[in-house]
Amino acid sequence: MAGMREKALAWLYPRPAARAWSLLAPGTFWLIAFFLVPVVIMFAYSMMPRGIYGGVVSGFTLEHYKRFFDPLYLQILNRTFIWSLGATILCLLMGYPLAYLIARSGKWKNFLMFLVVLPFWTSFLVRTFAMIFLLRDTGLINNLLLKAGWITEPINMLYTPFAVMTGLVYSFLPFMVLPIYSSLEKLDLSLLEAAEVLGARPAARFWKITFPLSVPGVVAGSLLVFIPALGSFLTSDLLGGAKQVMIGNLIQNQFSSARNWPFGSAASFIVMALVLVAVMIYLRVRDRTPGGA
Amino acid sequence: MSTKLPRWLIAFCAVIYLFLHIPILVLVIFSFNASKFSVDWVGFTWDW
Repeated sequence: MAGMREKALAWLYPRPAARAWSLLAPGTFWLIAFFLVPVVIMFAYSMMPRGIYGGVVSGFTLEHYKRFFDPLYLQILNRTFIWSLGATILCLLMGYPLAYLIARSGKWKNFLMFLVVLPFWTSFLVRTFAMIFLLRDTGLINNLLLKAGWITEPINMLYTPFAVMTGLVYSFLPFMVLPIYSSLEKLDLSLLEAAEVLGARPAARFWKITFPLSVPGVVAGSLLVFIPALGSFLTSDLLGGAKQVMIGNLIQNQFSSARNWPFGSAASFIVMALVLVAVMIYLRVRDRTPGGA
Repeated sequence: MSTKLPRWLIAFCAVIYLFLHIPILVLVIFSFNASKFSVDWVGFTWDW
């Protein structure tokens, strides 16, 4: 077998393109088989008539796309966008200071970073259930407040937009902290020293140097929070109940209980297209912002 | 170069850390709760 290996290497050596492709092949295969093909199948499904028992029958129709533009669905879509945007902004407001602190904490850096990643050691589902445990009417927060005598009857928190927002921020906060931290950590401290020597006040040093240089991290973090938040259905399902439906719940329902695969596919494609547009606008705005990298 | 972090920043981050870890800690602590359903603390148990 050694001879074959030698031969293969001898053949590959003078051919850089073949070498590159042989290295790319596993990844390419994976993406085509498990990403591209399913997306193409979904796209085809979204334009086929619905079968009686689920699935699709052959034919061509655009009714599923038309159906989506019903005020009911548009309202859900609108709500999903607002919540995802809200969760992203809250994550940014909480995650940036945290990332800043970690990046400047010297020898505590690794430990503090470890604490941010620690919640990932438990599953997303378990963390969401922990949130239920805290928020529900007979939950820990209400129980403590009742016992302390600060309230006379439980505050209704679970199954409200507040609960969904808390859950979203809670689950996605680390995704905001990690990229911002990595861009703040790379920051050359001598720039700040120079600014200080030249008389810049702390606020000016932050807004003119630190923040502009951390914009790539902010952009990456915002996308890492916004896109999964937009597609999340578990959080709104468990913490929002039946009333706080997000677009992810709608799509999930079409594939599971409603058995309307083509409509689910069409809804997925509309959401994908909107995410694409939103991300493109975001990146365009970033590129035009002075100081943005 | 002053690397001292402002107090309010440290306090703010402490609150965020609490927010990140309290749900999990509570879950861990109450996994030893002797009560079957409620979140009222009944007693310590290894039953679960």
